[in-house]
Amino acid sequence: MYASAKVALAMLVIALLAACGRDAPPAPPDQHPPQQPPNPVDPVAIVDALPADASAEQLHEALNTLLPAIYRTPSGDFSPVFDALGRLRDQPRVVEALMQRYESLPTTEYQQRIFTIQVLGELRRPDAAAALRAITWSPLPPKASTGELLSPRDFEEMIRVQAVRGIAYLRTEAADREVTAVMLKHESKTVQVAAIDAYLWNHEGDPEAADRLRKILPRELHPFVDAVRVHGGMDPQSFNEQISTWRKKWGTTEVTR
Amino acid sequence: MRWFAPSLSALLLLAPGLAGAVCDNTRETGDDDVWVVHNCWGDFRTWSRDYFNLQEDHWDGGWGWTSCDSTRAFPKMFNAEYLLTYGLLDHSLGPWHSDTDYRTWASGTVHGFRYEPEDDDDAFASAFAGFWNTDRVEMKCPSFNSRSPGLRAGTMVHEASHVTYWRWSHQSNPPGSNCSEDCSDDWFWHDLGNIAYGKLRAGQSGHKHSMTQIQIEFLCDLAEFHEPWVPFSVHNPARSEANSRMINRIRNFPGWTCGNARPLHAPIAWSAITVASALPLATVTRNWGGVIASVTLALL
Repeated sequence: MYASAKVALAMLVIALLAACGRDAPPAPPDQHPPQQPPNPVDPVAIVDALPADASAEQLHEALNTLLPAIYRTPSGDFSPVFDALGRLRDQPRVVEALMQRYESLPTTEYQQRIFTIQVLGELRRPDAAAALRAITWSPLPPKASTGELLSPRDFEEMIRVQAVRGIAYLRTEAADREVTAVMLKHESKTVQVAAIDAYLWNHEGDPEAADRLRKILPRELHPFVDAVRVHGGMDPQSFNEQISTWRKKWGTTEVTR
Repeated sequence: MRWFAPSLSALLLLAPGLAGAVCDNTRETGDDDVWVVHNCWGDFRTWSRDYFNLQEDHWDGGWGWTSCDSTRAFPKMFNAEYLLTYGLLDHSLGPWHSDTDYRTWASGTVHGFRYEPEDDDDAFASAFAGFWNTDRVEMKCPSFNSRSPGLRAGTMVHEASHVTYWRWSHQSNPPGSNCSEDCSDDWFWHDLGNIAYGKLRAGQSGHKHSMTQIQIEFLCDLAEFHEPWVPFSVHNPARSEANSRMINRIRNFPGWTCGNARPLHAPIAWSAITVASALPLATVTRNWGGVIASVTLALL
């Protein structure tokens, strides 16, 4: 009786110890190889199937297949997308067709609207400038009390960010003037910052381009002229050095928590 | 969002008619695109339920606990958890943190909370301090509808930070913010690489990240340092939202933006590997790295 009581006590102690000293959660299973099927849609083939001077209707049909296919493409398979867009650029009515598509999307299809404007900008067509300009300057919804949700204004800003990037990517003097006007006058700080970033990226980090901006922009926007980009392929050591310089100039260590 | 409130169970006792309500089942491109990668992988499903702490009594009954239908809420959580667990390259070229770090940060089991679904539209998710029950994060309908799985994963790391740092609510906003009420956070600066990959721990000294900060770091890492199988429908929204949050919801801009300014951003995983081609092969190879390794060799 006494012995069995001791055994029971020992088991209880072991159980308590096990409960207190909870093991770390197990590691996840080894990653199985991705099972995704090959992309069934060849974007280059879609564009190549179009006649050289496709009608708006033919382009509309092609875009209905092409854009969803691009949107779903894994990063590792993306090269043909640029090949396809390079060929699509030669279609005379493609700007018109993309804008028709954009305008037909429901307002709340934000990701599709963003993506359509990205494609328009990527084509680098001079005749897209007017449409991109109109989108950039279209009024934003008012600020709204949405708590932690993103508001319609947040999403509409993201669309205008893509529009101003498309303008900057034209890399003409007129485009530079337009992008500079956005930095100075746009109602949204997010779009102003995107314009600064796009201007500098399209001038390939030229220090003189940054100097030009410092001369014309108000001082509160200068930290964004000096900002560093986090991007795949960057050198972390170089990034840390650049961001250290930025912090010495603009940063604050004062946080309130 | 952080709240102190009676447990959901107690509320359901008072309003039993609400118990069956679920969010609409919607088809989302990003969810479909991640789904075909793992194809409802059973081992991961079993592991992730425990690791992130999603329990049957909350996620059954219409939420899709046993379902492989990617329009339903539980499978959509599966997608977000898969991206948190496997979505980043983790090589030495620049992610703020590794996927090991992010999945650990978001783990309900590691931090003593559970994820529950909630048929509500007032937030992407809300964290609650447990009174009778365990602390919990309620994932709400805006996290499942018109939202890609990468952004959902970002919400998970955000809310997990609310749980870890309970006394933190959001703060006043920077000039020019879109928020009309307090929605912003401080940024706690750290260099790239000064927290070793795999060693980030919520609550540990020197590892402090605000809710929006860890969310932005994850979203930018997903945008720029993802595995090659990550589709455009996942990494493109992550980049847009990282930059939006940086300007609108961070009080002390940390001096960087996410991605480059090309209209259609080039796939980063492969350009990163191109730059890495002078590095030893091991630095760019991971568990399923047969594909990566062969490409790297070709570049070399």
